[in-house]
Amino acid sequence: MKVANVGVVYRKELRDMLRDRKTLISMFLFPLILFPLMTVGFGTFERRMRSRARAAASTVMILGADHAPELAARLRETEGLEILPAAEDYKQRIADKRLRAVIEFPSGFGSALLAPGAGDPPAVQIYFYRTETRSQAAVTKLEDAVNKYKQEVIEKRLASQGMTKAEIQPVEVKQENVAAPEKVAGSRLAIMLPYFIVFLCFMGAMGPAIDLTAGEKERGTLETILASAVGRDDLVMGKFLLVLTTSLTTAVMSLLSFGVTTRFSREYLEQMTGGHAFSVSATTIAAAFLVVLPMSVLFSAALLALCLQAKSFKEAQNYTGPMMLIIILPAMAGMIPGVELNLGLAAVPVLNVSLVTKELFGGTVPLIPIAVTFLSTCAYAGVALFAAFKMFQTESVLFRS
Amino acid sequence: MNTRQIGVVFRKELMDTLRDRRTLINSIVVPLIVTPVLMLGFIGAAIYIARAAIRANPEVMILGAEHAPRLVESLGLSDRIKIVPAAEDYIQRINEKKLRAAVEFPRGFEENLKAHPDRSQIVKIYWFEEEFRSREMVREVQRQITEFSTRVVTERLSARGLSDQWVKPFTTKRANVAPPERVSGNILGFIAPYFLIILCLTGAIYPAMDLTAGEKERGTMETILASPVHRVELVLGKFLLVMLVSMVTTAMAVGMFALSALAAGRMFGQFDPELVLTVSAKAAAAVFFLILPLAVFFSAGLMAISVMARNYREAQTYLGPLMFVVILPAMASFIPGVELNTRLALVPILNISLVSKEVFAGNYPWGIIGLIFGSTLAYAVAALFLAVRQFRREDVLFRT
Amino acid sequence: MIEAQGLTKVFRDKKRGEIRAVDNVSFRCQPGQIYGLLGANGAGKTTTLRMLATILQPSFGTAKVAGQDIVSEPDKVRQSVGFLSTATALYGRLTAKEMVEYFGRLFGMDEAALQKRIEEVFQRLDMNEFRDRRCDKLSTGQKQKVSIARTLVHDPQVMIFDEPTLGLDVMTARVIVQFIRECRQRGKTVIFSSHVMSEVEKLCDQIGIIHNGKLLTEGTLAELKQRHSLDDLEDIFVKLVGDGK
Repeated sequence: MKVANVGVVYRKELRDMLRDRKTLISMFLFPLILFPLMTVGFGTFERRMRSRARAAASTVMILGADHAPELAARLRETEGLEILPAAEDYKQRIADKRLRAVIEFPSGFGSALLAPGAGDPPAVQIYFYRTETRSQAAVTKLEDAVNKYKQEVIEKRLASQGMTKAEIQPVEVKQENVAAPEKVAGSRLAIMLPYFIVFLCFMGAMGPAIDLTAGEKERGTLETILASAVGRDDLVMGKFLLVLTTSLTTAVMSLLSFGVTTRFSREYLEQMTGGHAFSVSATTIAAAFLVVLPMSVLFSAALLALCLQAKSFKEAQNYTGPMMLIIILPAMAGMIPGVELNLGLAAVPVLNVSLVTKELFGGTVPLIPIAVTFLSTCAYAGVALFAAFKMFQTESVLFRS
Repeated sequence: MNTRQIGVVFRKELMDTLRDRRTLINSIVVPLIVTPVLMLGFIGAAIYIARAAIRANPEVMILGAEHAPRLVESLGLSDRIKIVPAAEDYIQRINEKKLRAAVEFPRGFEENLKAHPDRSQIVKIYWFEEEFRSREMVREVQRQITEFSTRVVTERLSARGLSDQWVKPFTTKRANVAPPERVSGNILGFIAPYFLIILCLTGAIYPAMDLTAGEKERGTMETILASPVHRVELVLGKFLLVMLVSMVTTAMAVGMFALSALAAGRMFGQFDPELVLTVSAKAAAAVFFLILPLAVFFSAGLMAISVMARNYREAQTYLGPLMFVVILPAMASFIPGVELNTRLALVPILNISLVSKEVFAGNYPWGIIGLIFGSTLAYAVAALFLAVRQFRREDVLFRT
Repeated sequence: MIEAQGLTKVFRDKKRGEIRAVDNVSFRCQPGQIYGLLGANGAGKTTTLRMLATILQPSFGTAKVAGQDIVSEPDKVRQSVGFLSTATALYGRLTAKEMVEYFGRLFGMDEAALQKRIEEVFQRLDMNEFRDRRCDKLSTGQKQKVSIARTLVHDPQVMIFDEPTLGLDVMTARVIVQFIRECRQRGKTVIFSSHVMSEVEKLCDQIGIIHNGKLLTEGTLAELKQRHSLDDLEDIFVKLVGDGK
């Protein structure tokens, strides 16, 4: 292999690609706008909806209000609740989403309050629409109001016996988060990010890979260059380096975009991070890049080998489509909670990178699995590269008709 | 305009497309396979893995165990918790996710419970906020503590001659009154609209490209333009085909989605009987009809755009970003609690996403549905006009 | 009969400004004659022929094809025209028969007449061996025959060929040339474009040399030789194109 020749091929392909609007868009523009768009666009919409939902009063109905006049009156005065007159068809109305919840006081409620300890306590029923957000919000408001009243009743009873509240609440549990704040926020974000990175890395490689193989065949230029003095290996290397360049650029652009977005749009990220400040350290990004690098090599080489099999652009697409699905599944598997990076999974291609990225952005750096991931991906990449070189030597592949 | 000519064009495109493997795969195989794999395989795997993960290594550390022997004993009895010996580095271990939580009992915990009933004892639980396994452990520990607490209270109350009902003036019970399809429909309504809209779009993309840019690339565009068929007839014939493919894809998607949901309901129903997934045929059919005008809109729009391309590759350049313009509004169904009003009902794609969600949940807001249907059809007709106009422009058909 | 009257086509290019691809071209082709439009690449041959076939609309001027005006009655013109261009473009997934059927139907032929015509044409062109084979599985020569069949399924009076033998091997090109001659024999009006001198010399009754959109000269081969005092068509061509502009 002559490095000079590789350089010539590479530089030509690079120049060619930089003049191709489509690749430029998918390499630079797209990853740059993706994250901001998703966080800002989605975040704003979602926030507006949430504030609107919070502001809206929940329509509820009270049944058996005469059994609990004091509590009913309290409910009527509660902010955020709109009490509708009692009616028979409440169940239907709840199911139709015209009524958010119904609270029912059983008969004997009032007397039971006055005679504590005699028999089972009365049960207040709350009817609602499970999984319906606004119904559940109404239930929360009802339960809050009811519980407040309950506390007052209890306190009166305690006072009558000269007891303090602590007597019936012996243990108070305080939950304290000890995880570093970035880890908390990152834990949520880390779910989606690995998938995106893998996906974008693949997409970045796909376009040029098709273009430089099937595209050349279609245009008729492959034959010409094969007849030139450039050795096959140099040709493959040059093309491979170009595809790698685009793949890495896309990945870098995505990471950058992600980093910048998290730094400047805190409010919008709130929804995704649960209100915690989140920023990615430079080391995390560097580490992530380190793991993504061999994966890019893997994708670039594999795509190159695969797309060379095709006669035309259209056919190449028929191949890359399924390949994309094959890549996406392990990438998505990394999103499943409970799938943790261990030594075994660290050897599964694509899945391992997905999991490592998840760990990194979640704030942990498990060195050994990362090393295993890096090495195994390098091994796979080596195999793919070998395959690519082999393909360019096979006449039946190069000259299909 | 001659309907016979439209028919001739349509029939030929149909014959041609049925022989095109890629379209068949896209329209039939993909919804057929991808849907169940995603819904059953993926979600099923997610559930099983998550549950297994929770059960594996449920390590909790107890600090100050000597101050709460009784409570520590009952914690030890729970098979969901594995107590590990106390150590200094618990914060670090929690951060590294090697330790799920650490419980700290203050000095003299149980003694004070006996000696000073008028004071609450504070127990601290250190955890990794939001991490799901940590959360499960915290819940379990809380449960145990609450049980213990209740026993203490009962003891104290009986010492005063009071029953423990004395501190429970009343209980509150929740009861779901919505029928199972509506409950499940609400859940499905989050993902289904997005999924179906995307499949409707992808079903239309390939034939739209093939019948416009593809025609140009193959060189047959010129030939057919020299035949007596009018531009309008040509566009309509092709459009009908693209729409048919899109509709078939959507029908397959809706069908497979419903079947997968039912299967998932049966397979995973055991975990929470109230949340069993089920789909009514009525809802499925209704959603299909709602997406129909969208199929028209997509077909016409995609054709109008891809006819500007000289070949497949260029067409892809145009249509690629388009996918994202569609994906974002389609994702509206993911946001909980969005209220559909007249203003939103006029935003294309977003409106269909939201109204499909309602329909899945068994809600049929007819007024809004009519508005959405009408507005989408209006957009569709506009797109069709645009497509015809494109086919009349020489600079579009013969780009060099 | 083709009668072009001041045909002009102007294209607006963002970078190059206004381009007159065809500039005030007028000529006449009689039925039972072959008119050859000779010119280099980009001279305006294809654009002229496309206008005659009503694929493109002239910016100025008009033409009468088979007695109909291309600007005011393009539909009727198309009914009478058979158009064949360089790209032997066929629908790959259709069979040869289906390909011809499609166009026959587009030309409004009723089924019975169409089927009869297909039998006739397939017989004449010796195509029955591959009539049910998909077009993308045919050899180049076979594809040409399908294209020809498609072109005359509706028995048009006027035949327009745009560089029909470009890129074809000798045997296949002969098929086309033979076919063109037959059209003339049957009294059709034939016009075709080429930049191959020998072909034009052999076939054409009338020759028109076009360059930069303008018709530089026209006439029979003998007339041209005499007018320009040269004995070789190629020399005539080079002289006109070199000096004139």
